[in-house]
Amino acid sequence: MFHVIFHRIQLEEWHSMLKSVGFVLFSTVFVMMLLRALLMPRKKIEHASSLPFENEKPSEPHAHDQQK
Amino acid sequence: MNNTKTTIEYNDGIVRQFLIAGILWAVVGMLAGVVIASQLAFWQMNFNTPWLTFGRLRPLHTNAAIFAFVGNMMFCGIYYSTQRLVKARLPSNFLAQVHFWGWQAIIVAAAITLPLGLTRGKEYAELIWPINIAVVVIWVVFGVNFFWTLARRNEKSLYVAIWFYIATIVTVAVLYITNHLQIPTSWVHSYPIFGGVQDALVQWWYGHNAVAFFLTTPILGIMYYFMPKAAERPVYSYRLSIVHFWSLVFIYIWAGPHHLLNTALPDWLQSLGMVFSLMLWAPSWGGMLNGLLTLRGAWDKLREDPVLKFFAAGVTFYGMATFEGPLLAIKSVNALAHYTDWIIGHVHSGTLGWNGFMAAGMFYYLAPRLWNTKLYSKSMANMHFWIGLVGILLYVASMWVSGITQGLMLGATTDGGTVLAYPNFLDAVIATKAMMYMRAFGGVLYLGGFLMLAFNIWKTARSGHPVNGVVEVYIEEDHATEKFAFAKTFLNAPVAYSFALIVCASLWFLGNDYLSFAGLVGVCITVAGAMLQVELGGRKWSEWYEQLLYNSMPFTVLTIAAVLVGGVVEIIPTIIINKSANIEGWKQIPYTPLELAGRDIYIREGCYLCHSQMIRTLVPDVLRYGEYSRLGESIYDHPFQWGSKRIGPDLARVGSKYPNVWHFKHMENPRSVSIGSVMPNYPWLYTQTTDVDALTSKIRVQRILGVPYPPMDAAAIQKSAYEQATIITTDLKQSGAIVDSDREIVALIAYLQKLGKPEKNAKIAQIPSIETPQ
Repeated sequence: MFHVIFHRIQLEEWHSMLKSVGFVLFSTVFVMMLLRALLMPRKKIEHASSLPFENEKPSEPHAHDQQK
Repeated sequence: MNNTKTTIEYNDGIVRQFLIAGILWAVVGMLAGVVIASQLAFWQMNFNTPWLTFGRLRPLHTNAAIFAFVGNMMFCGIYYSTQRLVKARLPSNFLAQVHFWGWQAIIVAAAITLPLGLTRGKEYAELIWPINIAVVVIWVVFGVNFFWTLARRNEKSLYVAIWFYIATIVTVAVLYITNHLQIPTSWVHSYPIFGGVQDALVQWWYGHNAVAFFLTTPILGIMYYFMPKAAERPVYSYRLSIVHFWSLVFIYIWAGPHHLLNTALPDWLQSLGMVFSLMLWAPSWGGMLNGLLTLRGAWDKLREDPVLKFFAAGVTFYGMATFEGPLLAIKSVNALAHYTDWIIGHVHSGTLGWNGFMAAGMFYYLAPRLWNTKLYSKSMANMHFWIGLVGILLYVASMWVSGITQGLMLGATTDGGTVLAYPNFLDAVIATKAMMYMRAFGGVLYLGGFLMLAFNIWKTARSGHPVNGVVEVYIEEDHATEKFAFAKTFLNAPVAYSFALIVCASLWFLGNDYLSFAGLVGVCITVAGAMLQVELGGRKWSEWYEQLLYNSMPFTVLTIAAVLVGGVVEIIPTIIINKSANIEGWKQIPYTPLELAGRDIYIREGCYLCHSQMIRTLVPDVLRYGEYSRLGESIYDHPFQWGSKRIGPDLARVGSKYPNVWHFKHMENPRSVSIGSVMPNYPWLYTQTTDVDALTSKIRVQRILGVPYPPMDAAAIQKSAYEQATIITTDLKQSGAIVDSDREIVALIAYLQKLGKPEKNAKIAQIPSIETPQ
């Protein structure tokens, strides 16, 4: 019967534990990072978000700026 | 604190170089794509020429698209944004030039060797070993220049884009080196050290994460820098970007096994691959929404601004592709979609939509700034957008239709699921022919759009002249001492508490009885201790994390740890098991010298790109191809040949299915025995002689890798090859096919006739051997 065909061996008994290990590890990392993100001070968030916007000018005036 | 004001001129010359190279290789890669798409519609476009066949050009297309196009585009974006985000010029122009010219030399070497059939036979890892070494060297040069820039930075905080770049650099290095561990047999040939299921797992751990860390994380970094710049507003949620980063890099690495669902891969790995793929939905969509919502209040600009138009569409495609990916990783969906064109459509919605459009948006943003001028033609850029978009949609839609049609037809059964509805594989090939035309047309449109971009950028550059960005910064003199405070970052209370918490929680969840109880007690004590210390000492947990942002090296180490843990948990157990005891009762018999030579010809011609050698644990697969593939049947395959696509049928049990003369005629002209086939002709196999001399070195390496060949000298190898070849040619002659015994076709027939003939009940049969129901 076909149902027997789909039987796959579990190589080593202890391998079955690894799925739980993966889940525990991820949960730990996720909870820690979620808490960190939520508790991060607003000032630091604003500073970090603004990093791409530090003033910069070309070695000569930008034509694309002049265009504006 | 003493601050010194200074002026920094960025090295934008290297950015310009990578931008130009990115556009050039994009056109080459897409052109190769159009050619091979046309070959699937019109087999005549293989031109009976070895270096123009699908099997040799397909690796050229994928390598050009991934490493040449996206690689150069990525370096362009990283060098531009990193210098600005950390307010420091690249420390070494020499290293930057070595990086640029070294990378281009690698691409040229790939473009020469792949059409010549010099390949390792592993998808996206085809390049031969001398080029692999060059890739590693140049990657290290890139990494040194990047981290050196961070070390000299004048901005304390590391913006989230930099995190994604760090993850890219370290992870790609680990993935690339691991999957390219090999032993050379000559200057242009090698065998990977992993074989069979181990090689399959390592390959798709690499292959999947090449998508993750070469095609996704650097582009996300680019998104986090360039989208706010183009929209002139900060990223929607910086908090979300933190969760996005850590979740994505941690989860992605576990998802590789979803490429091997329903195969001989152990079940626990398939489960892990599927579940972690499903979990990827959350961070991927979090990042996608973060990017799209950055455009809040700026949606009106999309009407006019081609840059934002490309970015918005690119991020939308990212969302679509990352929705589709986990969907395809569900076992039952995968049973329908795997080995079909649906996967090809999925891949292209990512590369054309996400990578291609993000690249185009970035190029259009950068060109006026790098050459101090205005964009030559905004309307042409808009036209490029619409042509490209229509091209993608035609391509992806045709692949969806084609893939689902193939999956349904090849999986269809009648008579209560015991008889195939379409026993002839070619029925599905013929039924999807129209989709092949549409796909090629979609590709032509997309290529046309990129040619417009190339012209537009060229005219833009011609109308201006190269300039470098300049910024005035205040340097804090005491900042330098904090940059590499490694010990200070790791040897402190928060790290110790976190470590203890992980250990105790693991014991609690995984341990038995007393161990579990001890873990629970440990968790309580750790949490209580940590809270007491924070309360009594007036400390803040956030200080620890902030330290990481000021110290790029500890941050990098943590990133490596987050990324590696998935690979370690999945790969190490598979490597350390007793291989000979885990073969599911069937064990591969090593190839004879002639069969091994034939196998290398099979790999050289890229047959694995169209034919799988893996009969899945699915009723239609078993009905069509025979008993499902056992773990032990590919135990000596270096590299494994399970494949990822069935443009033609599976070959795992093709041995003895047809007489020798059938293969002889089939390779000469496939349509003479398989009406409707799109396979190329292989006339050169009838004139080129088999390289028997190389077998001595090859078998020596196979023995080192653990393949149980008896001791054989060169004379014994040649004698064995000659005798087997003579048997085949004699049989062919009796069937009216005359060929010399030293021709490559003879070796290839020997290999094909060997497939699917393992030693049954070789070891302890852990499950009964089941005959295919008739």
